[in-house]
Amino acid sequence: MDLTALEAKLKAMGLDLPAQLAHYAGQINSTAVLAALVAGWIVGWIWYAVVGDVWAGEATTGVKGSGFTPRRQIFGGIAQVIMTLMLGSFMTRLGYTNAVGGVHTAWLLWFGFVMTTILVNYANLGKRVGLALIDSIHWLLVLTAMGLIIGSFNQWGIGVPVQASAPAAIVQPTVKPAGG
Amino acid sequence: MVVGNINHFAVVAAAIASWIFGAAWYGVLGQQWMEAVGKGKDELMPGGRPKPVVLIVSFVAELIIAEMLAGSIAHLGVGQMSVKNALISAGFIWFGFVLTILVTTHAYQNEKRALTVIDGGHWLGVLLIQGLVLGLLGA
Repeated sequence: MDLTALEAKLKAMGLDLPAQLAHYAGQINSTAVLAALVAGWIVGWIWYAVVGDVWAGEATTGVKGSGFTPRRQIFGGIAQVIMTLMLGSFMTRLGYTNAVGGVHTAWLLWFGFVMTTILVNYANLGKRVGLALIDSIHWLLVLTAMGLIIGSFNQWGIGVPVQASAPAAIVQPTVKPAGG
Repeated sequence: MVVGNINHFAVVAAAIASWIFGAAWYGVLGQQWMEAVGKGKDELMPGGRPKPVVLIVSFVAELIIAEMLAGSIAHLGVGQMSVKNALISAGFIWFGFVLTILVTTHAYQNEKRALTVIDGGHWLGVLLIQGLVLGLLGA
């Protein structure tokens, strides 16, 4: 495949991926992202420490071998890095960049896409409602903590990159502004 | 019917289209899906049909997803609803909040990788079809 031709085609469609990635990297508030990750991890740890026994009881009725392993924690960690970056992106995109806005965005995303998909998947697999509740509340807490941290850091200007024109964690560059 | 910058007719159409896609997806991949789940047909589909509660929960959830997807694009401003914007939003949401959570929850519950691929593919299809319908009808 001719990569140069493909790149030109993507640019013509308004998808200049290398430029957008560079733009992204320059706009990321890495301090906020790191703090949000730590907060998300702590919240998750506390949640499963509190409801761990109930979770284990609900989960093991379906599949054997479930539970915490280092490999699974790495999976969870990578997932949370992606979620933090995407949450920051959505906050900027929706215009909700302060602490309240962060929590608001987190709740919207949770209600719209996380709770819904978990409920359908678990219903499909015949899993217990209790397990769906425990897991979906976990993600609600994680997203809330992340939104609160990213928003607070933006609001008080902690770790905001100097070159950023707006106090935002990430600017979503793929969509042009109205009339643009 | 456009309320608050969201075309609710397009939202309902997107939910119906994605629900039909889901029925077709699991209809075609039914055998592979049951093998990946590791449960028999009698347990997953008593009487040879999906449980009504699953079909209802799926439709209501897909209605909420379509409304929220339309809402996230409406926040970009008037005139921003297009096939391109809707597909980009749908793809980002799938990658950022659906695939991530699916991979993590399936890993912790020791589900087979094939199940994550089938279920993840289903949600990608659902979101892209909703994006397409919203972009076409909701603009």
